[in-house]
Amino acid sequence: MSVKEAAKTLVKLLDAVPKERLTTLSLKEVQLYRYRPLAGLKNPENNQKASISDIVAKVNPYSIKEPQLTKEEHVTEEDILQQIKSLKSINSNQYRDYYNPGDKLLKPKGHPEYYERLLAEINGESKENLITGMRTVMLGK
Amino acid sequence: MLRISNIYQRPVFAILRQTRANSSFIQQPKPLNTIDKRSPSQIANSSTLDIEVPQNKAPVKPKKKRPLLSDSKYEQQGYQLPSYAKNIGEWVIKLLMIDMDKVRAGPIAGSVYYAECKRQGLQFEDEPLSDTAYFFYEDIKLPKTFSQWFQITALHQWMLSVRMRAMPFKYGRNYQQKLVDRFFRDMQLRLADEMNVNSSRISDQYLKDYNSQLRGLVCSYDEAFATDDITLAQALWRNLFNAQKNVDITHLEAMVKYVRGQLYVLSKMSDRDFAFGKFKFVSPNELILKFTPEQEAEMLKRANEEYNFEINGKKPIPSEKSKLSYEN
Repeated sequence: MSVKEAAKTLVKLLDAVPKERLTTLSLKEVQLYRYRPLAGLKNPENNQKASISDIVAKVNPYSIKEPQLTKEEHVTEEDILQQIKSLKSINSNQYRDYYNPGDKLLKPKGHPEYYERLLAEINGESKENLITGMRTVMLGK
Repeated sequence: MLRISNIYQRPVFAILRQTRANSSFIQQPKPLNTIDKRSPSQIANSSTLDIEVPQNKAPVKPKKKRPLLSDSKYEQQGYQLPSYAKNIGEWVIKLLMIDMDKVRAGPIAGSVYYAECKRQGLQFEDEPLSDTAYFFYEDIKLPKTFSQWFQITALHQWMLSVRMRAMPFKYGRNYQQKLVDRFFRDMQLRLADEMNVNSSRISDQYLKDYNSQLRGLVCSYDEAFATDDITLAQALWRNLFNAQKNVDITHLEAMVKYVRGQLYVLSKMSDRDFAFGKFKFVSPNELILKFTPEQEAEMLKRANEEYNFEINGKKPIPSEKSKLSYEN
């Protein structure tokens, strides 16, 4: 397998990664942008990717600079195969399944609905209204 | 007067709460009994990709170092409370029937656990790194800055607060509060003493910034904890890895394994042990394996020997009393 073919496999795998739901800052997009040229594919033009400095600039009076890299990256075939192996391992959810914390942490005694409420809000399936919001602020759950 | 908790007893709200509890967004893990037999640091080191570490322009060069626990004389190393003061203390606790589980939040979460979180990523210029600090700064190649230390500490603090959520509400909440309070108090002093930020306006600005970062990271890690590994990798990349473009996915994998492993160990700890400050983070050089049923039975037996009054016959002194469960 050449670098190009390996990079193509990696791009294909990255394409299948779900998008972040909380923010526009995306691991998937940034990595696609990095590996597409290696796979001989073109990056989309006018691609307005959010970077961390844009996000900081929105909320802060001061700005931060992104670290400037001084040298070009040299990626070998072995490197890309390693990345593919790791991405597959993350995608297989083996760590979540093996280190299953069980209902003790996923439905915590102090606040059993915590994760369900959070995920419902993030997925947009149920919105918190004023009363439930006030209740959470005042009672803490 | 109508209280909000009363409103919640009404039937409409009861139905609302039920429907919410029935919907399941939490992805149920499948049973799995085998795992990659490498420790997180071995995974991180298996990578061949040459990552350029951004130049460090803000090393931690302290004039004086902050103590790990606190400035209080009671927490100095080797301090012993005189026995008459101890006896008076025990007597007061017994007489006023003080709830020690509440009191313990300060010295345990606010001091012991905060020190444990702080220790993980602590580094100073020209000083050798500890085991865990070596993992974060050398193995997964994070920049050696104050903000990076904040991210590492906040990650560990989040892991502890996940466990605190599983304690009875009034105690767990108190533990979380004490931990965060102490975190920001110590950061303020570290900025002044160790980072030489002399203007309080500037250090306040930093603290506000760290506060909003903390809120964001707790939300994204919580989302990731209840969903899957790729979401956790994304959350770690955005926060711990500062959304750097030349990230190595193998490093992300090592971190996912590290975080999930720690949370597994936390989930196996009883409320009592955890509340007494017995938890220590497992070194990234070690592989965490699942407990076998025999090991869990052994743990329960030892807990009984230690805490069960009927088995060990030792009546706990007032300051060591606790209502928290030692069996879960």
